Amino acid sequence: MKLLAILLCLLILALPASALEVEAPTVPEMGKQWMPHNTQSLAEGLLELVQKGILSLRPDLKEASRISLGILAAVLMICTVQSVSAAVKTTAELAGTVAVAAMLLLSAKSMIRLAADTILEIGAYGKLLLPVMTTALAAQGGISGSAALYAGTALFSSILQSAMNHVLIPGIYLYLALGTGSSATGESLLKKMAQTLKAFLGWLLKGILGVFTTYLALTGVVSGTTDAAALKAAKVTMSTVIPVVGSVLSDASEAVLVSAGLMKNAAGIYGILATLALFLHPFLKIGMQYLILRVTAAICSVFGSSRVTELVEAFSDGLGLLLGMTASACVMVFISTVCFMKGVS
Amino acid sequence: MAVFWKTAAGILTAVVLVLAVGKQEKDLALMLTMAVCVMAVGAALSFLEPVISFLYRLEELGDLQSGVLEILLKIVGIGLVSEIAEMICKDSGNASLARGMELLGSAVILSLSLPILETFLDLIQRILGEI
Repeated sequence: MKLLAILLCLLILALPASALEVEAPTVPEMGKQWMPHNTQSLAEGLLELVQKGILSLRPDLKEASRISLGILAAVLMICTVQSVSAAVKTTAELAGTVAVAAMLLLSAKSMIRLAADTILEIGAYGKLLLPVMTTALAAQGGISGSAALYAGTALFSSILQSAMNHVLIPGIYLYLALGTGSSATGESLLKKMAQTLKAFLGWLLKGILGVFTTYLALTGVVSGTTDAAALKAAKVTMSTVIPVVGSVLSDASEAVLVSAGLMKNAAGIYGILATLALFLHPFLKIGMQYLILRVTAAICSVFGSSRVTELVEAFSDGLGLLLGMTASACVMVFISTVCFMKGVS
Repeated sequence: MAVFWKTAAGILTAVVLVLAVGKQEKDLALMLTMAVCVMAVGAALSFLEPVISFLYRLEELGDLQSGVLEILLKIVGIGLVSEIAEMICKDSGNASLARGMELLGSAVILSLSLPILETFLDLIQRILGEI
């Protein structure tokens, strides 16, 4: 009997790895309500996710519109007061900038917190998902490839999180402070400092992503050809929809498309949908706020209030950086997962 | 609009009167100028009344900090009064008094602006506090 049990155990251990069922970790609490019911098909799941995401934007749209209306009311108030007397010009501009900045700060803080939480959640989920995918890929013989991919993704993901905590988020707050100061005082030096800081933050984000995609290309985990039209469409979409890092992501779109075409693994599809469930709602929420601020800035410029326009633009640029940050975290896990799936399937 | 036409006519008549009287009675011309200026300000205020209620509506609509509009309106009033007083001083040939009036107006505007400056500093501190 004992011999039979030992033989059975040996038989189980000798089973090919492909026969083992790889299961992705369940989606965290934050993304549970956005998770599609159908997690078998990527296209259907994506469609459901996008539909849910768009439908859920209504209250956020209302809130963003309220803030936009408040900014326009403040601008109109300043312009009206300024037209009565030139003596009040400086004070009115200062008062207007302070009022608008106070209004925007509350929403910017909540957006920054949302982006930071999303990146942490995506990172934490990636830490659960990628070992599962690594095990599956290694079991099929791709030990060196899976190790390189896992090491790279884990390294760049932790670099992004560390940069976010220590440089990007404090940098965004500093940028907002400089933007507010330059708009309130009209000081060009502060404006230049803000622009330099924004460029630095953009370069940092682009740098991390650029090195990550280069690493993937160098290790050869992503290779192949894809439909030229689909590639062009993906590049245009990524570079226009995602601010700051859109161009870097569009360069990586070939990798995404090639790998996406090979998705046949249920665990990987679940993992990608779970990552997108964590990412999509915050991205749409911040993106909508970003677009509404851009439109508000354009309307403010019609009234001729250049300082408030600059301030609103500074806050929308800050949100643009947040969008870039969130998209980078998601794309890192996404690319890695589809790369693993390429090996597993 | 009748108030505007009447006030404009009154101001133009006063200009002619001031020119005519000013040669012999400078004091009287100055008094007339001041009286007509007060009348013009009064007329302007009657037009500004709906503008002020519109500004309060904007403040409510924008959910702006209460008190900011009051400060701005006070500054507008002080700015206008000090500007007119300064011009009257200059017209009467008292450049030093005009400068004194300008200084007084600026000092009052600056002191009224202090709460806004403090709010600005608080705001910057709040943003930097998040770092």
